[in-house]
Amino acid sequence: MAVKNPVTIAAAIVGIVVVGWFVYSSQQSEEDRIRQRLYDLAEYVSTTKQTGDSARLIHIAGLRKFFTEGVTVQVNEDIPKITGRDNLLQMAHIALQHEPGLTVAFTDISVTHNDNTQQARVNTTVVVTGVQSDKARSIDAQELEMALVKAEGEWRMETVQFVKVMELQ
Amino acid sequence: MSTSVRRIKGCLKKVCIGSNWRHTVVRAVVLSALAYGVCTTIFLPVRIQGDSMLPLYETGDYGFINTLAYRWSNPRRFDIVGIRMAGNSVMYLKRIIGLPGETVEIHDGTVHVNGKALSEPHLQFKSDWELGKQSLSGDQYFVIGDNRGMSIHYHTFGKVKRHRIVGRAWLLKIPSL
Repeated sequence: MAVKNPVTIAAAIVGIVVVGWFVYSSQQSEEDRIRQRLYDLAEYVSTTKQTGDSARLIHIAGLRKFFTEGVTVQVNEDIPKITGRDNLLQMAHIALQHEPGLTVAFTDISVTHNDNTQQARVNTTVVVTGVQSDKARSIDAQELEMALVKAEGEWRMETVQFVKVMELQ
Repeated sequence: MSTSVRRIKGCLKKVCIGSNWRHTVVRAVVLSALAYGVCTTIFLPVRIQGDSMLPLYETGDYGFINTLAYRWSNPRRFDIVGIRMAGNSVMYLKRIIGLPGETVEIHDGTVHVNGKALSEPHLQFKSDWELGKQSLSGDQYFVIGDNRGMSIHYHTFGKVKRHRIVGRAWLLKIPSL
């Protein structure tokens, strides 16, 4: 039976492309999972608006699942390296106590992952937006290099290093 | 329907759709694709956040980064450039004051390049900044913001490698909407 209606043909082609795109996008690669992990972390930190130490502590404890137990965070040479998940969460608690309205976002996420290993490297820019006392928005952005490992089925950060874009001697 | 109403409807139809709607659709699609391609590869639209480039740029201003500006030439002193981090979504916007191979230092707020005081007619905000000698290698530029009335500790500036310079700021200032 010959299909004479070009609109039907065009609609069929568009339908096939759309269905194919959905099928393709539903198959998440490890790189996609790592990106989603960072988005989840950003969303989790950004929702830390609880007042009161107890509520905030409970919420921050939920950050444990994003980091390995021995995670290290190096901001720069002038600030001592933060070592250990508990220390990191303590620092996060103090930081969020003073800046409860912080929102965090990761952009330009570049993932390097070897299919044979449970390790990955990520290069990304983290954008942190806060609200100052005079209601003005403050914004800071930093480039990060991270090493992640897959533990218990989830990707967790093992090392986090801030990258200096502009250097001074 | 009266003749005048029919005429108005006809004019509106022609203005909105054109004499041939298929051609109009094709033109719209081509123009949209072209605009998307240009704005994601050549003229990157940027929205300014922060005070480091006051008074020229303030928070909320819009502009473009011309990524072809240095395709056939090198960045020049006093160019305002976009500096990428992990990608182009978020960039620093700074002014170049030191070129590869030079030394830069700051005494009492005045920039010295290769030991000589640099004349900066664009500079309006200045305070007593001090910075020791910074030597630039063959692929490094020294970048700094124009707002030097703020504390030096809150200002991000320094040596940046050539490959991080995305392009030159273009269409100097579009007022914030």
